[in-house]
Amino acid sequence: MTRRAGPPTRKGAARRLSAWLGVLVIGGSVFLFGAVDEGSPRTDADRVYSLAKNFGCPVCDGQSVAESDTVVARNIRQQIARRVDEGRSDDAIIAELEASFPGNDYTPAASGLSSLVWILPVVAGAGALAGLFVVFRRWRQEAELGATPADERLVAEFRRESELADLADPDGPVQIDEQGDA
Amino acid sequence: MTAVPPRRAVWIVTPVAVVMLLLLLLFATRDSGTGSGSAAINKGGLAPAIIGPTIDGGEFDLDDQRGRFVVVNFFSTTCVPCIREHPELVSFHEAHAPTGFAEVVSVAFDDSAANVAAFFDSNGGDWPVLAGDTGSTAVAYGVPLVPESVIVADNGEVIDKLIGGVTRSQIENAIAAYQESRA
Repeated sequence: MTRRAGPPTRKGAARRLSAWLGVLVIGGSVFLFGAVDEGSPRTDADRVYSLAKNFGCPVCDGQSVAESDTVVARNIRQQIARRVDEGRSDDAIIAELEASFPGNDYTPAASGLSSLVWILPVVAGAGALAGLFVVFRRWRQEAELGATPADERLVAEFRRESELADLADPDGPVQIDEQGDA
Repeated sequence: MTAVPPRRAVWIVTPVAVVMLLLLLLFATRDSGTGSGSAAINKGGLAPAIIGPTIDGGEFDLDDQRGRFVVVNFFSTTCVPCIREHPELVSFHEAHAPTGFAEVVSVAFDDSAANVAAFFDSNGGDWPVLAGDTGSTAVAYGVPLVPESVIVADNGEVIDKLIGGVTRSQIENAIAAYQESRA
């Protein structure tokens, strides 16, 4: 595949800018949708499972209440189900369980040092996007390098020599493509 | 494979190292999610409600016990420390229940009413016993394992939570210390 060499035009820059803007708009919309949308309505069973999954079993090693079959885990699951039936919010249920069994809530806090769990992935994602932007831009600049006057002189000289050679050669002219290959 | 220039390597490695350090700091300072098993109810706070049917067909309400000290004992008939502590509870009850000074209430932890009744028949003990649907009471008192005993003052305040098997003297000492602090 051959690429047309030459300096970047104003039209090309505008097209690139609009492409990036498009990517930003689509990416931003997807991010916003993911952050705001609550998905399809959850059933009570979904809520119970989700809450149980995010609360650690107080006597188990690394198991959540949803995974463990100990008596206390079963008691907590039943308590969650009762509270969901009563119409309590997720936060209220977790707060009650935390009061009974402190330090077992798996959900990282949104403040303090624990908030890094939420912030770091966003920062890492933004860094990765910025890195991609820089790399793509560099590749594009390398691909769009125009011919220098020295390059043009070289090509002209080669063509001239080829034409002279053609004149001297009785077999006929030789086609030369854009790269100068005979 | 092309080698990465040292300067560029610094730019790549530094942010990764910073992120790793921050994560390490986060995990090192965050509480472990397991094995707390600690007292949920605070000393000095009001004891959570205990209302429910007893195995002899009666009704128990902790609020009705105001005016006397109450030992809320969480136990199971298959738990060895629970079996070992039972004579201590019987002794405490015999000494203080007739005078109206204190009462004991047992809350079975994942045990059937029939098993619990048989246990009391053979081991003694004449106080209210709740069995069956006691999971919410155990959660409210933050009981992950048995035996555990919560001593409730005559005004409904939690005096102490004793994890593991208890003795009569332990309970009496806790009550005495509370009375001293209140005097």
